[in-house]
Amino acid sequence: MPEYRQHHRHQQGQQQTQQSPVAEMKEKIKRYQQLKAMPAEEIVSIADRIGAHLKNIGLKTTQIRKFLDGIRKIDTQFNRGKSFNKDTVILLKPKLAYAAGRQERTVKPLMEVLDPAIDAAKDSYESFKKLLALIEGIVAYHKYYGGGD
Amino acid sequence: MENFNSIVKGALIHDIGKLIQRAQPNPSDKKHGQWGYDWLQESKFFEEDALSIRATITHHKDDEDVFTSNYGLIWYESDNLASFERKQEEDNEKGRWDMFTPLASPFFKVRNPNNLTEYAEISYLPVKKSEGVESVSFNKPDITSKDYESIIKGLKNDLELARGYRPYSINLLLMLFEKHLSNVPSITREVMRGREEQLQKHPDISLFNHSKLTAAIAGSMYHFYRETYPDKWNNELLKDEILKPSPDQKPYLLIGGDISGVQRFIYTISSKGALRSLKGRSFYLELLSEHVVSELIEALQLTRCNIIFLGGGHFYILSYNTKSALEAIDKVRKKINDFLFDEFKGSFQLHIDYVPFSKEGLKNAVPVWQGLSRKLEALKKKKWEDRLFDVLKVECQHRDCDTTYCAVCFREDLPLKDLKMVDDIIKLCEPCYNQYALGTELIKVSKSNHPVIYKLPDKPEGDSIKIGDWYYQIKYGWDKDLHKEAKAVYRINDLNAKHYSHDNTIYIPTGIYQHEDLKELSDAFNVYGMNRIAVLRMDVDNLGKIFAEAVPEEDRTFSRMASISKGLNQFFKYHLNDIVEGKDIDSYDIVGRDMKQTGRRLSVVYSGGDDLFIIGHWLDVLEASYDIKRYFEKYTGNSFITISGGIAINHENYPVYQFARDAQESEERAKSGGKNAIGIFTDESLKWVIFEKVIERIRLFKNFLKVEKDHLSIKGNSLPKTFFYRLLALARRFRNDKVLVLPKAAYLISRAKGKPEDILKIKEVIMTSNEQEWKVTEIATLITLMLMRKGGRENA
Ligand SMILES: [Zn+2]
Repeated sequence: MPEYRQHHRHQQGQQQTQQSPVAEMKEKIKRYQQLKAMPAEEIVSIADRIGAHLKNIGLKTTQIRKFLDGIRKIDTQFNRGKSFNKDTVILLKPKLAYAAGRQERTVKPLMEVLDPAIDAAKDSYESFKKLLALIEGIVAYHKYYGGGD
Repeated sequence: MENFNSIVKGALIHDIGKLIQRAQPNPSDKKHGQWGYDWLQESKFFEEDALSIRATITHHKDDEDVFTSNYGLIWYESDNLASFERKQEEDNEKGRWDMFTPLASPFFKVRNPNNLTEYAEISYLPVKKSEGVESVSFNKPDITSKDYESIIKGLKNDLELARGYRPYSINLLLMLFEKHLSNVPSITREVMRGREEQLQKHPDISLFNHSKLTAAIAGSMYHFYRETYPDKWNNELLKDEILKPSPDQKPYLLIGGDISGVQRFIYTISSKGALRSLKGRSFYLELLSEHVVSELIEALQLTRCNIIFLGGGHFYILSYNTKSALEAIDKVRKKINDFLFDEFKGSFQLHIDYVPFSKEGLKNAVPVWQGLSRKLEALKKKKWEDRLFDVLKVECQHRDCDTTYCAVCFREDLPLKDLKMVDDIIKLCEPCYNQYALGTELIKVSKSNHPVIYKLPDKPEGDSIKIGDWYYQIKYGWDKDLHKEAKAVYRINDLNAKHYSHDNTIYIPTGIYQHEDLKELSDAFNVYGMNRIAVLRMDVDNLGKIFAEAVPEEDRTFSRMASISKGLNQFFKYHLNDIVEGKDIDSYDIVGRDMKQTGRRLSVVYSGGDDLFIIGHWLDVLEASYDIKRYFEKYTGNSFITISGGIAINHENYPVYQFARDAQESEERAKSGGKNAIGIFTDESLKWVIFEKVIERIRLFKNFLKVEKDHLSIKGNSLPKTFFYRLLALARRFRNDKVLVLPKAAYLISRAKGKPEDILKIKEVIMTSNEQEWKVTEIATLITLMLMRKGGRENA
């Protein structure tokens, strides 16, 4: 298991000068047909990079908070996977697109990353859970790096 | 018997010249024996001991009178047998005498019990015994004749203080030798064959241990030869008999004693008055072992030099192997077990057995000790076999017990006495009542005035404890009338020569510390943070292996094995008091409670041999556990000798036996997880190094909190209490979710406010996927939350 502590120090130092990680992260996610195959370490690491980036470009918590709440509500509907429904997952995409349309500069990068993630989350409840973890992670790291409301 | 005393005392002081010689500007003017003889004569402290002091000049092969009297032969041979380690070194020629060589710790001989090719680093003791907790040094200390001068001065002062008690009793001399000569090497020869060899052969037996064992052997030889050769003894020189016994002759006995059923006896008590009863019962057992040992010593007509070990419910005595000795042992054994059976209805039993051995057993002691422990184990399995009928007999209920029974031991066959507690009266049988009273007395004992225990032939006024035909009574100081009447006077942890005026004054080191204000368990309850009591049990890891295998075979001499076990006992009985009190030492004070002023709120219920049982306020107990571990490390200086423990934390009303059981389970977990660890809470076993990290982490958390008189509280808006609850939940989730908890941890930390460097530190230790770090965080958080709980019964 990688030592995340090291990773973080490194990350923080580079934040200002770093190029947008969005393209790179997007590629990483696209490698997975099914999100359930993605290791937890990678989810956390992507959340970390994206969370930091979103903070740097000035995204506010409230802007992603609503989306997160929505997806959590869906999770309760799925009732621990017993009533999983792939259409409900796909419907997340237009919701996100709508939000991005209104906040082009800040939400769009998030959308770009989540788009392939949603695609890879519709096959099973397990994959959907990984998607949830990714979004929760992004929100958490965003806040961790000082992102405000 | 006149001769016997002279022989033993002579053997005890035979090497005193070594001490004198090393303080001289011109040491090589005389042989050490002559230096000693002249000093003893000049000082006039030993005027009445004309025969004894001849031992100084009659114990070496080149001394004139060695081979012309049976005394000389005994002194010469007992000196040899007590120092087999020296004999081996004299065989090789490349040695060098260095008068100022320091004593190595006897523990450095212990190899890694799990890998016998691994040797410990050599560690040394300061030549002058320190006042506080002893610790070894890995740098060879510089010793000069001034150091020896100062030791002599100390010894002389004490002899002066006791000048009125001449001729000095062997017991007094034993105490003084222990006080002054425990760190003085008995030999000062270094072996110069390469560094490795030199280290392995470094002197590690103290002059005290050597002198005491010489006296023990001399006393045994006296009885053996007098009884075996009654006609020759007074008229002939027994030169061949003493110096060249046939190899199958077994003149010696190792007697061992072991109390079984201790656990049940001590801990099966109700919570009412638990602390006093516990303390009383546990001390009763110490008195009992002490009693039995003194009965044996007396029946065998030996001295306390022959007590090789006494502690932890075990004892070993070096004796002689004759018909009368075996009869004497059997008689004592029978008498004491009859008494115990009647008094306690078989709830515990004292097993005594012995192994005869030849002089070879003094060279390699392991088979002797192992043989004895096998015999004792076998005895334990045959509990009360010869009294089965009595055990099964239905006891008549005493009429006091028609509606109730003893509140402590549940016996129904004895009259009950009312015991007034603070807000309650409970009914106890007489033995339990007396033990409770003993506990009460012990609790009153504070450090400043040394308690005295008188052993009396008649029942004294006030509370006393009856063992066999004798009554033991604790007093806070000297009592003129009791002193006159007493058969023996015990001085607890008291090294003041002035207090040894009774011919039979006996020094006993005892783990007895208890916080002054701690009278009931509930006094330790509401002290700091959450209201909880804790029990700590600890013992040395791999002890059996250490004795059986870890000391290299050629080094397993009787004197070394005795030195090692004595050293352990000394730590647990004597030094432990200072360590757990925490006032004089560099003790742990996790939240900064100013512990040095107050002392730790706990009580040593029992400590000795290689283990201990402590009860008290949970934080004090927790901190003390680590203090004990750290000081044990400094004391042995050998990282292969480790110690493990278990802590149980619970409410004040939780039954003591359950506490004892839980702590034992925790300890077993610590041991099964590879030892050198502490078991704490329900399913955690922590290596000590991790435990230290836990303490560090609590300190880090503490930076965000405010230290109040009796708890930690929130400091402004830096970290809310919920932070710690959530962190604890995360730490527990980490066991399953692993790295997935990191974003949540990140989120949690993002709300922390405080000094940037503190926040950075928190981030560093929590934003990690390292399992161990999370374990540390979990326990540290739990403890922090316990510290944040405000005291008060309503919050319990
Ligand atoms: Zn009772």
